[in-house]
Amino acid sequence: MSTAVMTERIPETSPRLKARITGALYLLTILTGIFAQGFVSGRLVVDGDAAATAANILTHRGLFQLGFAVYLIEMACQIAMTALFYDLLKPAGRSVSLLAAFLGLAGCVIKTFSRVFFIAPLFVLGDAHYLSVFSTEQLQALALLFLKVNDHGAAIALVFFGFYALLQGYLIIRSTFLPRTLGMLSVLGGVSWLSFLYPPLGYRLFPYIAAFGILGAVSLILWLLVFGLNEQRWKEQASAAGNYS
Amino acid sequence: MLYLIIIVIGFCSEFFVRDKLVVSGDVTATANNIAAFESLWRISIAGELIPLVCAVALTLIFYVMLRPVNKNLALLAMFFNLVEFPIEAASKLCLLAALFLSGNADYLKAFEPHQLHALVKISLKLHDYGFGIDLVFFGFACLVYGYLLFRSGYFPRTLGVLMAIAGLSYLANSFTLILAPAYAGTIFLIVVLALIGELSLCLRLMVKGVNVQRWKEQASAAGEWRS
Repeated sequence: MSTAVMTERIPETSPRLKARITGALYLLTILTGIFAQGFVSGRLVVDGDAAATAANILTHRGLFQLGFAVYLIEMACQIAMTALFYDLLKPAGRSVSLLAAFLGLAGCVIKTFSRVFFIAPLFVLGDAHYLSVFSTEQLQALALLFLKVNDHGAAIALVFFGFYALLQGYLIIRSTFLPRTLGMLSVLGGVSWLSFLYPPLGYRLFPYIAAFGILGAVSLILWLLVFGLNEQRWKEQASAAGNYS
Repeated sequence: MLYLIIIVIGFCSEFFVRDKLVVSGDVTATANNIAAFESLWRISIAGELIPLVCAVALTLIFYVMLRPVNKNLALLAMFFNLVEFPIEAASKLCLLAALFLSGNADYLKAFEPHQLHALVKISLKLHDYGFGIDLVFFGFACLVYGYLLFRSGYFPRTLGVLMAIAGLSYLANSFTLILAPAYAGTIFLIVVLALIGELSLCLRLMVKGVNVQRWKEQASAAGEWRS
């Protein structure tokens, strides 16, 4: 085994390319999220109507399962994005960037775990024999209850993502290699996600918050994809911070 | 060594305890078994948490070991693991819930016994899906580890390939469970492939460790020492 084993290092990707990959992952995260939330969950789940929700899920079983799979892919993209953002923003503040990444990961864990309750309605709405001890209404109510748990789990995660966006905005403002406006937008988005600390408020304001969040996200994504970042300045700030040689 | 502990204990709780107590297709027998062997059930849950703790330590070791190859990818693999472990640990709650529901506490008398048994079954299914979700992230982690091992120069390349195969089989297993549950039983066999990859990595680490010379060369080439 020892012959001809090459000791080759994977060449370090340039910061600009990393920024573009981050933008692409961010875009994927948003698109998969919109698909699963808007086209699957939003269309099949009828708030407050257990019977209609159950009927929708059973007639569109495949779509429902696909929504679940897409939710998981969304999370995988978000984890990868979190890892890359940590590295990109490290020159602007190493500890803050690490803290942001940890908050982001905690949010991912909570959100992903609550997805177990997204798929759970399929078990109780199935026609397994052991379920016959419950009435149809009871099973439909259980299904809607599971969906509610899933929804609120995701709302808890939003609070973590809110703090994540706040810190990310702070780092972008402090950085010399990304425009400050992007940082401000990220801070605004972060503050509005924090309204989910009191979920009724968060849900009521959701259309505005989502608009804010999406505005910030889309501008950051476009910037990262089109311009990447100012490579020269990134290297300067990185070497000033002593992170890189 | 940590790795072997994880594989052995994980295997034992899954196949010796849970498989014996859970009677597929018979919810009443399952609930009665859980109630009758309460301590065995609890031990198996504790037994699954211990390897998770080892796994966190192992993840850190892998990160340090593979960082010289590419620090971004090593970080990515670690993040996948760090998301995966808490999900697995949290899904053990469902196993505990199954235990509570099979008990004979007073407040449970509000339900018929059969209803409770059905709820036990639902809890067990929630646990299975929690585990299925967690393997998605483990699969992605294995893919990245496979790539890093392959490129490292201080591990044999075969290990990298085996690890990548393990990752792919975990992903195939989980997505089948989600999208086509009817085939989940068949495809679960694929996880055997994954075990081969993991066991070979584990044995290699125990018997031979890494090629220290090469690791040092690469680490100093990466200039990672100062930070």
